[in-house]
Amino acid sequence: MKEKSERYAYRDLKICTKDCLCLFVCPTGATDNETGQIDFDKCIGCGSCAASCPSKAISMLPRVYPKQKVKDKHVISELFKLADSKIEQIKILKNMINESSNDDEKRLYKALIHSNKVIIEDLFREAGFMLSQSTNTNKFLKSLLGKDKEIDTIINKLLSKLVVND
Amino acid sequence: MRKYRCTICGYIYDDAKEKVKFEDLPDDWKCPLCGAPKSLFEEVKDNDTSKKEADKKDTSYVEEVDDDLRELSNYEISLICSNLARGCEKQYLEEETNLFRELSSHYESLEKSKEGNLEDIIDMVTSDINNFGNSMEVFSKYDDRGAKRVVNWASKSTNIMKVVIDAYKEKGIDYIKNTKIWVCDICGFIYIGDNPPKVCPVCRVPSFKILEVC
Repeated sequence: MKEKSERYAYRDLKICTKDCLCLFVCPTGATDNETGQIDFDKCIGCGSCAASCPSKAISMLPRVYPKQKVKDKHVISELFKLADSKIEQIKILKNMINESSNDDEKRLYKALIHSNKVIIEDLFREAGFMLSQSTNTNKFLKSLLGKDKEIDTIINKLLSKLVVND
Repeated sequence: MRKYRCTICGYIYDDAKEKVKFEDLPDDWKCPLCGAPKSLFEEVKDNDTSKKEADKKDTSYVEEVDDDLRELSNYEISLICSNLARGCEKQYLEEETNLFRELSSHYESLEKSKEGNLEDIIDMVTSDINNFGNSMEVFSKYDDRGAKRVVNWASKSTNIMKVVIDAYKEKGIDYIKNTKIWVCDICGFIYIGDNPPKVCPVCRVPSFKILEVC
């Protein structure tokens, strides 16, 4: 069997305006697919469709993502310290929402929680959780197993879908 | 003639181009781009030697760290999962995105809220702001570009958070009554006003990623 290309074309259906130039330039017919999505198996990764798309709806994605950077433990510890202070604030703010009877005040506390969450997620992303296909994520998911049956089902689905790349 | 730079969004106030000198602006004057107060502006020096010197000296305090990963709290797990959901979304992995979101909600629901008031939040936010400098030095020492990027955004958005809370404390409910509140879904920048900026002043994402809080 022929080896698969490093990259494949992906059509963002939220952006695609059916200009159909991809159908015209595609050498294998991979862009002409009943599902509306590109046939990833037929795609040879030439990039002609992405280059011709006037709506910029097609991206060339890697079949295997590059390995994520290994983070120094001191960097990780510092990032967690910043995140943990914000987590404590979320806990207090949730309580403040419950105790407040004013909708405007609640809205402000919600905004503070949202802002803190976005920042914490970003801190964790840089603390070794950039890629869901990393060994780090794999270990993290496995460490959560064995406490709750329903949760184990979700984790096992993720473990089977996410192929470790490093 | 002097120039002043907004430390949040980089807006330049040039005395030479303005009718009023920066010094003479009222205390409640705000950055026209991001709403940061006058106190978050710094003077632009032509030869920024002070900054270079600060870069040279290494005063960062690095703690000894255990190799073993300690047990994670429910919120930590929840937010690691919601971060991974965002990562999967970027890779167009729809099912994985939803599975990580489910995990995130589950772990969030296990966490309990905690007693406290606005004063506690102000103390914690102030302490965060004071800690970003040391973190930045640690990340520079280990030459971690990604970590430096996140602490740059986090420190700006947290400074704005403090500005918003301080204004609320001073002006009371009138400050947010009949006004919309917005949060940038990429960097956490908070904006109070009818329409969000066209581009986020902290991370430069277009305004459709700046969400209204309802």
